[in-house]
Amino acid sequence: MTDPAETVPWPKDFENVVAEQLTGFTVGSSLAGDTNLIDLGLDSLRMVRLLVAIEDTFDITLPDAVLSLETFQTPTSLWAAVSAAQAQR
Amino acid sequence: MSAAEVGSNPEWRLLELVSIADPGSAAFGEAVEVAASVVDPDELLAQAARHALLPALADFLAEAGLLSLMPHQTQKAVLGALHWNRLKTTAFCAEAIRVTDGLAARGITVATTKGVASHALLYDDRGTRHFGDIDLMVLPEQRHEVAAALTELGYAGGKSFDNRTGELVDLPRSVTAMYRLYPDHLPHFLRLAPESAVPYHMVDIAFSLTWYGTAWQVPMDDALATIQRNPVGFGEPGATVPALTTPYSFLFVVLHLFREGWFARVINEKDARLSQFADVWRFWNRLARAQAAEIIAIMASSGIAPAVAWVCHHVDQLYGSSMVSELELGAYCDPQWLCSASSPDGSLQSWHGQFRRRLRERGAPKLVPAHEAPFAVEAQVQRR
Repeated sequence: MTDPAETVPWPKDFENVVAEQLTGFTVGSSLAGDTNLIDLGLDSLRMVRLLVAIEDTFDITLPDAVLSLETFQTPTSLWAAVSAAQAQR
Repeated sequence: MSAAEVGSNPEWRLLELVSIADPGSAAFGEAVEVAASVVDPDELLAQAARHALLPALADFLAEAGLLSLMPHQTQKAVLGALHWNRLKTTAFCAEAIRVTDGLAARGITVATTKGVASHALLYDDRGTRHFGDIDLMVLPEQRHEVAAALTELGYAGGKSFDNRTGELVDLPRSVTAMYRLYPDHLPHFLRLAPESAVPYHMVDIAFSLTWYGTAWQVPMDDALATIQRNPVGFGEPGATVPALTTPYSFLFVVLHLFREGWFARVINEKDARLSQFADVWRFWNRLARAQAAEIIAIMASSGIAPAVAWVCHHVDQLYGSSMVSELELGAYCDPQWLCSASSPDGSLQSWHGQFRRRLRERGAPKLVPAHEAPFAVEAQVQRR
């Protein structure tokens, strides 16, 4: 089975929502798939805000099973969870 | 507290004494003396409410024959707080028995902690200790069974009480997500209680003595290996509830205070209260001191000594006790550590002054960036 994150690049909306919560992100740059989001300032409160923003933006609910710090580690791991939830709708 | 400090704020000094006073005790006698200096009963009342000590203050004033310290209508409000707390304690104790019996009948290992487990032992079953929920400790591997069992017992998970409508409503997604991302508790379980004096019952399920992600972990199998029976007291004469043994129960109360006094996210929402310090002091003096050797052994094996030292140092400063010395914690009382805190992004912060000042001042303490403090890395949530 193909990992959705490898074949489905995230839309600009996703990057915008993620970037909004990163204190260490430079406007105008782009997020690499393996960027460590926590190193860019994604603390516990921002992580929860990001979750709510993603669920609102993409009209999904991330299942409890994927709500872990690992999911929020990189854009790739987070987008994998988002696209899986979209596929389940 | 120096004589000058007492003179400049007798209301605060009185509250400190009330927090550890029992009729006939030395603290009670000193409180009666200090009460003669009180000039601002409104300040006393406001601080007692902020620190969850209104029932204790009411009980003291009634026992000491000092209700006239308060304006006439305020006396009624203060006594009302005491009577309400006693009614609530009765309801909570009865419900704690029902819930713990129900969980045990389903093969779940469970222990009460904090208020239900200790109010009878630490406060002589006087109904003066404020508590707002039923705190339970379970094994992490049984938490899903616990959730299912509580549903069978009439509870709904992830709810809060809507004070406008009197109904249960879903917790915000941001709150339930926090429970999932940092799993050491289950989201609160609530049930409406039309048969009771209280509008609803709330059960708070913990499955860690510390917090998710810290290097300091107390094995839960050890903590729950032996369950003792504590008198539940109020309104239920002779009844008991399952509880952690004294060393683990004491350490949980201490670690809970550390968590609420060290993490900025919690500090900004509800900073530590004087009543929590009184719980630790009472626990130590009444029960835990006799088991200091066991407590020291648990600290040595789990690495939690710095957090315990942080709390015990501040309790000693407040009440003049010697817990740091008796628990052999002196090596952990580094000044930078003792005034440290952790911001939501994991960076280190610090606050200024003694905890007495922090408790007495209104509003959250001012936290400023700090470079480093020993033990902080181990205390913080490991993020990768």
